[in-house]
Amino acid sequence: MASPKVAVVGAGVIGLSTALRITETCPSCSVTVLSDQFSPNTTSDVAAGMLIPHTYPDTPIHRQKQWFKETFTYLFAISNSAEASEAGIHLVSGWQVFKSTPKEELPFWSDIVLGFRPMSEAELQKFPQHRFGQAFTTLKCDCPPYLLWLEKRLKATGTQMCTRKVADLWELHGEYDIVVNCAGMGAHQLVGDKQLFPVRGQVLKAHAPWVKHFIRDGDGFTYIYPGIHRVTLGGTREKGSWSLSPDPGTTRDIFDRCCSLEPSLQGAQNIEVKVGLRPSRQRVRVQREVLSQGGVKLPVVHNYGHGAGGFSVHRGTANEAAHLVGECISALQGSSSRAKL
Amino acid sequence: MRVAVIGAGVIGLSSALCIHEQFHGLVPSLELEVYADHFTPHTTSDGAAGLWQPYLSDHGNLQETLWNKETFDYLLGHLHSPAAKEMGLFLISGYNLFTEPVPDPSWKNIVLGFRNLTPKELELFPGYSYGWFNTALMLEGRSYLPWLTNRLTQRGVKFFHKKVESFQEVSGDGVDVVLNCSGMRAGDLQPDPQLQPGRGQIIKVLAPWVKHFIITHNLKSGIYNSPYIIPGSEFTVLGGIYQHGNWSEENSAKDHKSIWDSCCRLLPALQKAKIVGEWSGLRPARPWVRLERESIRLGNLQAEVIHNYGHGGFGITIHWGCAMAVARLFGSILQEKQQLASPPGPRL
Repeated sequence: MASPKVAVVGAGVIGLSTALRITETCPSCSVTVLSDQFSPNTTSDVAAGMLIPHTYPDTPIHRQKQWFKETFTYLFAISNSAEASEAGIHLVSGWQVFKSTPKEELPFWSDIVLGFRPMSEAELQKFPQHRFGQAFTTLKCDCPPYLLWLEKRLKATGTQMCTRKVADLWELHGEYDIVVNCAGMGAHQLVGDKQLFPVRGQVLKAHAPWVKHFIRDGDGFTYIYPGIHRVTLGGTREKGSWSLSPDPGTTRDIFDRCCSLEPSLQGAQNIEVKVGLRPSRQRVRVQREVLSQGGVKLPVVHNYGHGAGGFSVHRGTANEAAHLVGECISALQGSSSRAKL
Repeated sequence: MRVAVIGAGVIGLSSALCIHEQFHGLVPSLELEVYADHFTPHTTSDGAAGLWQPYLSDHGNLQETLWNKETFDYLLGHLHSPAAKEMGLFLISGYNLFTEPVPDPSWKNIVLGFRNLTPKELELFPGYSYGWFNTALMLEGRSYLPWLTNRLTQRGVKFFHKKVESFQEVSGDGVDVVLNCSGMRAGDLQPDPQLQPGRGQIIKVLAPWVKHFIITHNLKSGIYNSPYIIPGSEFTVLGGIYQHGNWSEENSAKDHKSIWDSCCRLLPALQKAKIVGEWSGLRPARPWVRLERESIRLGNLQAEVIHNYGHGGFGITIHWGCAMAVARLFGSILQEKQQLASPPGPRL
């Protein structure tokens, strides 16, 4: 197999980063990204892109930690280079505050982010309703810049981008040797995964350039994430809701909750409301599968179900998925050389 | 009771406000007038980035450390007020970088969350092996000075655009007290060889992805002669020039190159930043701040002058503590003139 043809379905952060990793690990591969949506219309574009991991209940912690570490290391290097502003990657410091002391005072990722420590009494005075907090420095991937930067790097390697709605993976058989399924929420339809469910998130994007820190309530519902040009104010976590329409009552509620954490947000301007459906699962599905139909085989690598943690682990899962693609190629080469005997 | 304030930088305006706040209720005849050759946005204070941070060492000058603390606490108290945005006041965190270990600064317990940098953090800054992280405040002159001006105008304080050449000029005609907040040009009013310019130059860029201040230190070249990057609410200030004794307010191409090259080395992402301005100013440097009373004999009149100048590169950092000290001196002048029965305080 001189030049394996790989189709990556999905052009959010998972699809694009996986495609990029495949071009790195398999330079002879010909990669095509197929998606019905590209930036700025993907779920990733709604997300703030903060590197604060979500804990998946059924993925072993050491694996989540490895994914996060690889992602953090990769982005850390970009943030420290001349490409940082184009890629939309920047460091941001801030606080995670809790109304009551959490069971787990040291999350698994505390030694991967920078300068993690409990907040001092003086720092907690800024948050009179909260009695415990953690201060640290982490990274943020602003979208659309990060997705556009990934697209640019992909095009430079000769990767094709096609706007196309894939209704069935079998459509791609014949055209492609391997299919990589990074369809996010689309996997619900595409592969009929009933373990995948939406967790609806509504956010506000506002102009408030004096806000230089992130603030996150440990309950996960209220957060303030300053990006390059706008601050993301959140949010909601509505399990099972498929609605992509902004809800005005929710907008008011998010704004009020964020203002109580950061009163200066009362002066925020140009507020835009966005909604995204986090493609959630008890465990991220990074897995090889060989689809079989009437004696024909289609090697598939799944990489979806990242829920609230897509940005935090994207490079790590892309690494794993690219590795699985390598295994698919070896298997195909093995069977084709067997066929020659 | 007429008070003439010379100077409309952060020192003049805040001293005026502090005095008016404390005494206008007690001294109904109190009239304040501000005289200056430059008003915002053309003062030295407007050019400063606005970061609250004292120098590394207070040289045993505990009085100044106390004034710094009073300023920080005062500003922190205003952080959640509706005025904060208009004042140009917000929290900011960042890095101080060194090439060798140094003692902790006098202000380590004034700022929030002061700590040493971890080895991983230092990886961000090749060439620097030691450093601090802390959360401090920004008070942008471009916003704060107009805010002070508005508060003063609301209180009936009058402003006069004129270059004052002598204390006599403002102290005739029933003016009892002169506040000398003339900054770099105090020497024109009364010779002071200890007051020297600490020339600075800065480049203003658009780099909204920078969320931290980064201040490097070269103990041999001295304060602010090493690159620094300070992100404001609209643009980011790049600097690293401190030239003692240089009176030039012209931008120097050599200094521009030095600032640009050293800041881009410090933060490679800056290479893509768009330059939107450049500015040079003179820090009114003195071995210590001159904050004291002086009785000046002018013909057959006597005027009380309160000096408040020589704040170098830490004017914004120390301003409110000094303003309150000036107000205390003013209070004692009032007592002496029997304008006040007793010092201002809680009434029985």
